[in-house]
Amino acid sequence: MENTIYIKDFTEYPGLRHCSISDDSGEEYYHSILNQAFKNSYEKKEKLVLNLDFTAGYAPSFLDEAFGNLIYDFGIDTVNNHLEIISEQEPDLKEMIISETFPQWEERRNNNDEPKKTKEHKEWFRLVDGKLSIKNS
Amino acid sequence: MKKNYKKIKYKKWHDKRSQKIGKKPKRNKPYDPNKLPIYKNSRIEFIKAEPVIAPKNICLLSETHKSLEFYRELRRERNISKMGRNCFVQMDISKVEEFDYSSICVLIAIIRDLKSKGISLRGNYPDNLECKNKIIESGILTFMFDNNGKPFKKSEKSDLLFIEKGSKMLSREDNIRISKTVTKVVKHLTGNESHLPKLRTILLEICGNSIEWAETYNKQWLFGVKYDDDKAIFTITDVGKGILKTLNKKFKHKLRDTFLMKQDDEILQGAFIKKYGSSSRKVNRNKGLPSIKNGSDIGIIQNLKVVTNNVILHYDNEFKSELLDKHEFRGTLYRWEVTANTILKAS
Repeated sequence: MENTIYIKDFTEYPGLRHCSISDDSGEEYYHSILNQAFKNSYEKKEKLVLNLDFTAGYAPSFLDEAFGNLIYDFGIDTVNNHLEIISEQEPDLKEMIISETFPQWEERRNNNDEPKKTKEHKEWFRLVDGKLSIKNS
Repeated sequence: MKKNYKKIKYKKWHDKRSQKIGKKPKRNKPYDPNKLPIYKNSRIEFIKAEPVIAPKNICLLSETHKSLEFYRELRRERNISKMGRNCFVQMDISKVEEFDYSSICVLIAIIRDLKSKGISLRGNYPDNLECKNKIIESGILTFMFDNNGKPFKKSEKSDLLFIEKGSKMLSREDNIRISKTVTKVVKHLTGNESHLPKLRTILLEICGNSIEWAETYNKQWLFGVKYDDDKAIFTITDVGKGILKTLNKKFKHKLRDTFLMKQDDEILQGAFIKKYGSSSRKVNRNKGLPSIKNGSDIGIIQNLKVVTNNVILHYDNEFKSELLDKHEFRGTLYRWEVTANTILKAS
């Protein structure tokens, strides 16, 4: 079983990293869509398929913040088991996320270097010692 | 509450208190309220400064030294005139015969920066008729005032030139406008209307850097496109601190660069290949500048030139890159070209 979501459904024109410097930012996408979608897939033990195609293009910082927060909250192993990224139009983006963003944010997770929140977000989920817990800003 | 000794009220309080307890204030100089720049104080004053005279050729890329000197003069406090409470800088461009698109973008960025401080820029037309018409076409007069302080007649928006300005944050509207401009450029050069994600990536990264790190007043940036027959020239300008002043160099890098007597142009080139850390000091940052360089290396953009602080980098011809010893540009200008061929590579 798998659940597919498209970033184009969030916006055709993705912005920058943080909500404080851009509309439709990576931080916004993570907190409004990705965290909840990934948590649902994790609970149902299914794969979340995330399609990056059909947008106007990405700033690397948008992807880094969105996927980085996911790694920080769920850990690299869980994300690798439950997430599949599709990027047929720009395959190098998928490569960048997997080879750079994932390990760098895992390092931040290990160092407890919390991601910056530039806006108050509704409650979101984090995996702590194998159990889902609720976080708020 | 902790007292902020930088504020006038507490500077006075601190001086009085020091006198009372018989100690000298820690500051060596007494507080001087006239030290405030003239555009910041609200006193009615009449100060007439000499107009800043532009050289014959203000092409930023070919006459870099002279044009940077001109821009520096425009931003100098001593060249601000004040009539009552109105502050302005007088610019004399009557002798100008040549200018390029990059110089217009830098001028507009400077005008906007001055305007955000409450200072207007007044000027005249070049004597050279051809140059005068080009200046009118460029749309720069929209941002300026004539010698009597009245706004110039607005020129009709040229189809060949697009200037987008933003501040504080990249709004959804700015973002869409930038993306639509990319689409328009693709149509202009190839006849097909489509997104060009790789080019948009570069534009967004530079805008993001300008907003996040440049430290301009109101986080302003300026994005421009000039449509030529077989190419489009892109520029992104901010008049902030410049890349070299915002680099986060680790101590070991600083030591090594000093020991190896590295010049600023080599250091700037290092920043474009991820040699130094990001100003945010986070491991996952520092992707912006390398992605621009990468775009140039793989041919998504061509003739990339970067002017920042005391360095001009020509990525199309690295021998032309130079250290601008005496002339510093406070800010950053990126300029590159896109052709049908680069679009093909980017797609």
